[in-house]
Amino acid sequence: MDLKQIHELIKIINKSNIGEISIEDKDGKVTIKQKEEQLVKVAAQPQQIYSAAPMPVTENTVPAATTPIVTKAEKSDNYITIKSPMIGTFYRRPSPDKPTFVEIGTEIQPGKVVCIIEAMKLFNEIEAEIKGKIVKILVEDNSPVEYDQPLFLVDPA
Amino acid sequence: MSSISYISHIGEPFIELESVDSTNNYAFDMIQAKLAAHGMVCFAHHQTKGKGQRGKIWATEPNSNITLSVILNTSFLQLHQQFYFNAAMALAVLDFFKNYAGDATSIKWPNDIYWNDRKAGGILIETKVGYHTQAETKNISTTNKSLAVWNWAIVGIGININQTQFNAAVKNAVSLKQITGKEFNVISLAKELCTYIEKRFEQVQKENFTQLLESYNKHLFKRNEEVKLKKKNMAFTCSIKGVNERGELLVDGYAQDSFLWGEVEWQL
Repeated sequence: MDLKQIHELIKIINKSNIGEISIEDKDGKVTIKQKEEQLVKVAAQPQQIYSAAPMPVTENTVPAATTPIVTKAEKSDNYITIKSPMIGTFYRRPSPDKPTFVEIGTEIQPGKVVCIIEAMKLFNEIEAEIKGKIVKILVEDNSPVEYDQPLFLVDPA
Repeated sequence: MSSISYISHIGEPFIELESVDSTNNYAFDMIQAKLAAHGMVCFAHHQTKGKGQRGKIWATEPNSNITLSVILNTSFLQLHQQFYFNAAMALAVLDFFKNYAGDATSIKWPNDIYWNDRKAGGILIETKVGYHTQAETKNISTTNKSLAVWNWAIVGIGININQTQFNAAVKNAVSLKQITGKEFNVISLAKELCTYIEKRFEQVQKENFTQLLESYNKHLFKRNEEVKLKKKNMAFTCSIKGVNERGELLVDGYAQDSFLWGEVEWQL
């Protein structure tokens, strides 16, 4: 990881409820710990939690794409990642009272809407560009996403 | 028909509907059915399930107001330029409303139209974001990065015109009739609004982005004034400095100096 990536990561952690995160790659290991008072402040605002997906911090689990910056794990299998084309809020439903666009197992094809990303009260319906089956949903409904953040894992088979 | 010309004017065709659930949904269906054209407007005299933000409902009295959706081709814009488009649409509604209601008209971040401290109109934009096909991508770039493009924007606009009684739940609504004391023909006003949209959209096409942002900031609600905002459960006071090119609200007098929409709420 270069400095820029680390910097980005710190920014993400800062906004999140994650207390500590370690990422290891061939160049070494980076551990980022968040100050406790910062954490409490964020925790007091539960809706702002960055992602409630399980935190892949334990040693023996593969750091899957639940952490914002992981590209290696994606290469180790054949899944394709659908990433966010913009900063905004991620929604899995057209509106709160409607069913989700996709679930795990949903077959998608180019043009199929997979989610909405809202930026500044502008609601973007995001269409898939690939054909395949959703195998993992990486972001909680109604939570903030960064540019290029992985949203879905797709099995193209 | 994949190539779209801009010869057609905004508001042509002008589809007038007696009643529809939501003009934005109607416009979406037109796109889906490949019947949409740049500039097409769907106007409803009665919108039964008008869309507000995320499940909120834009409820208005039938036959009294402007409720319409404009379909615009935005494929020439990059995704990171979206806020300029957003600002242009807010400015178009501002220009229109100000012409009748005067200088007390402003844009409340990000895109509500206010008259003094009261809401006169709202905008809800929905877009379709797709990707260039492989063949197209090859010509454009040699990188393997996919290119997201937004092909269409559906701009839903609601403006209070002749309505004078508002639901008790709506605290601070105002209509043009309440301001001016006059009754208006909503169809001719809606067509007039289209000419304002066209002018502002031209600025987007010409990439007059600096100018758009300047106008937007000039007409920004409560600019350089103390306001109360709420971030999750915490209310705080700050002063509004403006809005930047990404659409973030810039403030003074608080620990954080810029906010994304969704991060803070207004406390009026």
